[in-house]
Amino acid sequence: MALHDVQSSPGTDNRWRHVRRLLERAGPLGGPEFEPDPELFSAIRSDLVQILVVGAGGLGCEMLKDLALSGFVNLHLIDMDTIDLSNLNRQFLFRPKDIGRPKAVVAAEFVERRVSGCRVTPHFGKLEDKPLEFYRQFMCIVCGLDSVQARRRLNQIVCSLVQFDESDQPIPTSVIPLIDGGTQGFQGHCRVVRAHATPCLECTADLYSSTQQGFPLCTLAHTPRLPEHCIEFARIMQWPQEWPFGEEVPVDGDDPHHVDWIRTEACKRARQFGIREPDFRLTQGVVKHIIPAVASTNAVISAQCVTEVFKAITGCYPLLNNFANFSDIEGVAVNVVPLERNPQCDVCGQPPPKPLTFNSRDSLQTVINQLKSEHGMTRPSLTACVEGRDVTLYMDLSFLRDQLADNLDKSLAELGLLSNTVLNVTDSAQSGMKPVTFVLNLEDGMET
Amino acid sequence: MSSTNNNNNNNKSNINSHPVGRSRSQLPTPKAKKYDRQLRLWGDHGQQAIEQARVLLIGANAVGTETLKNMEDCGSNFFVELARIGEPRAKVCAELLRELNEDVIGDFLEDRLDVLLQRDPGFFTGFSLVIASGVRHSDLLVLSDLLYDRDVPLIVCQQHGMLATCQLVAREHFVWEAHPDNPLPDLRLENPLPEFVAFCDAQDLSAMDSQRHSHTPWLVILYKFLSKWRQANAGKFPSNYAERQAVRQLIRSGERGESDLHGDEENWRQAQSAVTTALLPSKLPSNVNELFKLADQFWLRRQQLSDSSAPSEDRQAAVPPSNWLLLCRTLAEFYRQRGCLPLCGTLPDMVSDSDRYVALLNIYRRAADADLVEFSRLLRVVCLDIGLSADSVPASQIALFCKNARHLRLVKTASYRELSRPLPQTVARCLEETAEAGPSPFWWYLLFHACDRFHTEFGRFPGDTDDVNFLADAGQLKLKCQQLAQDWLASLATTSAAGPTSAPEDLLHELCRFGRAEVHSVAAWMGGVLSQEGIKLITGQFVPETRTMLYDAVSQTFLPVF
Repeated sequence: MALHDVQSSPGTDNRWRHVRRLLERAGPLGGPEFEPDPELFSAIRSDLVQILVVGAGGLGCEMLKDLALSGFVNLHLIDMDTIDLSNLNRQFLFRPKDIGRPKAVVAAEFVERRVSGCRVTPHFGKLEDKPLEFYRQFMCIVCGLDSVQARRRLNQIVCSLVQFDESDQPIPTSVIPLIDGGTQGFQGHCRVVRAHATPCLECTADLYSSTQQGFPLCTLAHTPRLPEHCIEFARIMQWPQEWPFGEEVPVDGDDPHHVDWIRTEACKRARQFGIREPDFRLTQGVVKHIIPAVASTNAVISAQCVTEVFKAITGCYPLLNNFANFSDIEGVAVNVVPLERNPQCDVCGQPPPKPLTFNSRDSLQTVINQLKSEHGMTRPSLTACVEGRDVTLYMDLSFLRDQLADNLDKSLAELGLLSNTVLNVTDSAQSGMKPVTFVLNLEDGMET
Repeated sequence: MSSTNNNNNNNKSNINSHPVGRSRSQLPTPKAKKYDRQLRLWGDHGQQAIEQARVLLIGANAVGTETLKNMEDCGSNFFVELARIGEPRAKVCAELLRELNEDVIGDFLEDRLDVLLQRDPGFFTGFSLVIASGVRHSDLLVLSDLLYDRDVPLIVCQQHGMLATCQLVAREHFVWEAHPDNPLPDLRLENPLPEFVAFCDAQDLSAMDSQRHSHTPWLVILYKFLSKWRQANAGKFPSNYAERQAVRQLIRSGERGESDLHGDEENWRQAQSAVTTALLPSKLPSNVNELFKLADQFWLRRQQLSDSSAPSEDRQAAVPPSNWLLLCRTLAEFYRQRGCLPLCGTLPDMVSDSDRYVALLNIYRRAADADLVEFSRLLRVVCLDIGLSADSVPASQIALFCKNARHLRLVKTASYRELSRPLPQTVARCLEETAEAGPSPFWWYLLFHACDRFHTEFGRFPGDTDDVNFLADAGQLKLKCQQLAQDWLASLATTSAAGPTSAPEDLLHELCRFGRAEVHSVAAWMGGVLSQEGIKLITGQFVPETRTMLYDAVSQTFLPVF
């Protein structure tokens, strides 16, 4: 039995006195703008503060539990998987009777039962199944995912929620802090993402190394050396030739019979080449790309992330800046690194396109005039994507000026420009300047 | 339960029986499925050790329960938790423990712990591991004195709000499998295996077609050019960077530079980059040398005792050495005779055709097996010599030991009594460093002890009150802190040389603010770390952290106190 019941005793919130100390008492090491206030505690304990946990695996479930025990009462959990046999090692949460049920639903039920007063709303599905507005309701999002793709998707969602003011600064209330945790065996990380202030997950996409073992096909086919080569040969080449469990029936790494078939074939091949024969565990590990996992690392990383969630929401202490590594193979090592944003980042590197409002009958010259007068350009050059092709509208360079001069008097409609067309503008007077993107907003015009 | 005097033996001696994962059909057992992911980290034998361990947890607080929960998740099921009696888990000394009930918390628990320590010390020494969370200093002194000499490892921790300290206390802990991240391969190129030499000599690189040439394992390539260099240099082995680079250049000259069907010659590139690690001169690792010295000292003492002319009652009862000591003694003997450690026997993966890689693996494995046979023979002699049976150590344990020979080490700490009273020079240094750099883990540690003294005098922790005026405690806390620092510095000749002994106001204030709060996520973090340290101690795998450490959840740092 893992999670000790936290019963509320009538009339007292004594179990939360630890949290209240942090929120109702001032301290010199607190956040720069932190003001202790009993209202803070009430806020945490109210529906106003909504937190989303992404992923209901070992790490996600741990985060859910830690959030509940930190006093938060309005939690959401999203996960796209159902429980199967191989998940039952997390016995404290998933039982045999839960097989087939969505992980998010079972985890939610469990935590609600154990921590009275806490409400957990499960969402069974993918991140993309939810509209953008769904994510806007959360004050903080914390994720315990094991896939790079899911992280990147979540990152894009969080970054696209950011709105900007007139001077292109992100509006603080639209920036939802994203706390990202990951574990692998005895190592893990915890990082804090505040879009446009810190690097987003895409800025440092290369940090998340893939654990896929890609062996060259010629090695598998002609010169295997390792038991792993024999396993992969059986999985990739022999299986689709023999379809041992039925035509077109794919390998299911969780089906022990499938794994055992692969192992048997791998052993035959191994014997042929004098290679050590693989056992079941190795075979399944290779077939499923299993990442070893242990409760202690999940506990550490989850706790670290939840501490940051608490800080993000209450402001009681400064946030982690901004990436922490953890390893307890030899001794115990924690290392904090302030990662830097990538100015070329596809997701958060570009400033958002600024809107330009015109009438479709206005001439290109009008647009250029506005670029000069209101956007600080001296000799703007414009390109746009028209009907799927990149078109140069005007170039203010001596040898091209005359060729495109005709365009200046044409109306935007004549040039085929519609609302939502993105214009890329550079200024020839500022060498080395990156193109600035604008988006056309035609009051009377058709849209792309 | 067998009452050996050495707990290390307990958990390691049943490696042979009923491995967790195997069944006749090769399909995994339900237990193996359940623990699959962690079995990949510490193996069946590690899992077995975890399941057979008997762990005592003292401390019904957040850190304690979180540590317990994590260890249970790993399969540890033989727990006694001193504060939660009456649960099915309390299998040992039930009579005594039934006196305590679930209402035991805080002060009351600590009183009873006191009583228990007096009344039945044997209860405590029967465990494989003791974890003491939030236990007061005076009780820890008694507890540690009891456990230290009996080699029961103890983990001590305290939490105050966003901060927590921890310390391992173990007289001797043997690490069987350190699992280093990037171990150097054991190739023996300085003194190559005869079979390996014969194998390489039979390869004629210049006569190979491009397929064979580009699939020659780098180990063979490296050896050939190394030999060439050695011949041209009076047989010496490359001893510095320049000389290794020269070998690399030679290899480079052997590249054919043509791409064939199968891509360019990656094996030749591998050979060149392997120069940096494969040509390092072999020397005895210091951790192993330490073990040799220990073993020799132990044997010397035994010899002196048995030679002693004192009457037999005065002679210390001959304590049979633990298995690791027997093995280390044997290892020292092996090294003396052979000039090297037993061969590890594994090779890194490398581009190669199947037959040659497999042939190389077999060569190294056979040599390792031969070393193991020789080692086992020496071990039998060592055992018989000392009056133990020839097969005192199970074969699987001998094999494990030899395989990990280069990474073996003994981890040890001082007793809690010594650790919690740092040397005056250490204190002075820490105070000085702090004076320049600002508050440090050392100050927090000092304050934690001051809080303990505060608690002893006032029956509660500073700031642990519903009174709005919680800061009033800061004055007393400051006094306690000053007294403690002066206590610790007492024997220093010039106490004035030390930095300020007055705690920074900020830290005093913050501690009072916490009032010993158990912030859940901070406790959960520490619980995660401690559960893994506990597993390291139980399994003898991975290297435990031996320094006094402080976790600061504000800065997310985990730093040594001294």
